[in-house]
Amino acid sequence: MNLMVLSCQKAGQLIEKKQVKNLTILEKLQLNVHLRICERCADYEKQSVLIDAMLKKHPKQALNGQEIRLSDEIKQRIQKELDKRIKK
Amino acid sequence: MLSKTYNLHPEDWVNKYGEKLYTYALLKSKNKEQAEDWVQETFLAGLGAKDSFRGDSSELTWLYSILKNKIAQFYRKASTKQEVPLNGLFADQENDLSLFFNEEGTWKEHSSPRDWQLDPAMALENKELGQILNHCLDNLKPGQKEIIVLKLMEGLGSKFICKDLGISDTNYWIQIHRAKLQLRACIEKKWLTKQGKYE
Ligand SMILES: [Zn+2]
Repeated sequence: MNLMVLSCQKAGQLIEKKQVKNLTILEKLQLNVHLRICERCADYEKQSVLIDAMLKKHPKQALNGQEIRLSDEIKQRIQKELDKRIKK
Repeated sequence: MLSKTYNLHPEDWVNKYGEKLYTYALLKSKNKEQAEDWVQETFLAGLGAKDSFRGDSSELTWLYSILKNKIAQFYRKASTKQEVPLNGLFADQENDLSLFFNEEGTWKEHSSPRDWQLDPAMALENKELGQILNHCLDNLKPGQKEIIVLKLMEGLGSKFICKDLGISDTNYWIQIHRAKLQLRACIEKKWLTKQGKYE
């Protein structure tokens, strides 16, 4: 088996792995070779990165449009409750 | 034996971890007030259990486990309400993959990615695309949405997420890949259809 030959399925896994942790040197090489010859996986990578960027920018889209910030009012309420008990 | 002091700083919890715990709580309840209450209860319980903190996890992970227990307790008590089910979701996924890849693991022609013809910087500002993303996230199988959202929350760690979703953490990114395949296919179809470019 040629070590440099990666299936598209495996390439996709490595594209996701790369965003979570470091690839091994071999994996890096395999992926780079694959992405150079496979336009579809190159498109997959672009899209995957874009989706993450969109979610990071507008995280509330991921949560049914709910505001994901705790309002200052609620924060203060919780802080007050906490402080009461810390001082005891 | 030396008694070690572990560094917990309850006075900073709300500012440092409030948002993160709240985001997690919102994945488990669509009710905003409920999620807020869980966060408050978590901090108070954490303060009460301060002495049991052994420093073998980060402060944040420790608080997450307290929150998780709170939520589990809540759904156990309210037996009429259904916890958003997260376990056992990854069973029939061999089928999922065969939608996209042939036996050699090469893209199938009809379901391989296409150029979205988008400039990434513009895409981030595109409202229509945002709505499509939102819609497609909601159409994912239970658990798939969660793994994508949880991954983006910093500080949680893959171990915790996998345990939470009931999957092995050796293939965390494999699960993310599977969820992403579904998500990107849905977005592509809707987006290109809107542009009149989907055949
Ligand atoms: Zn490929």
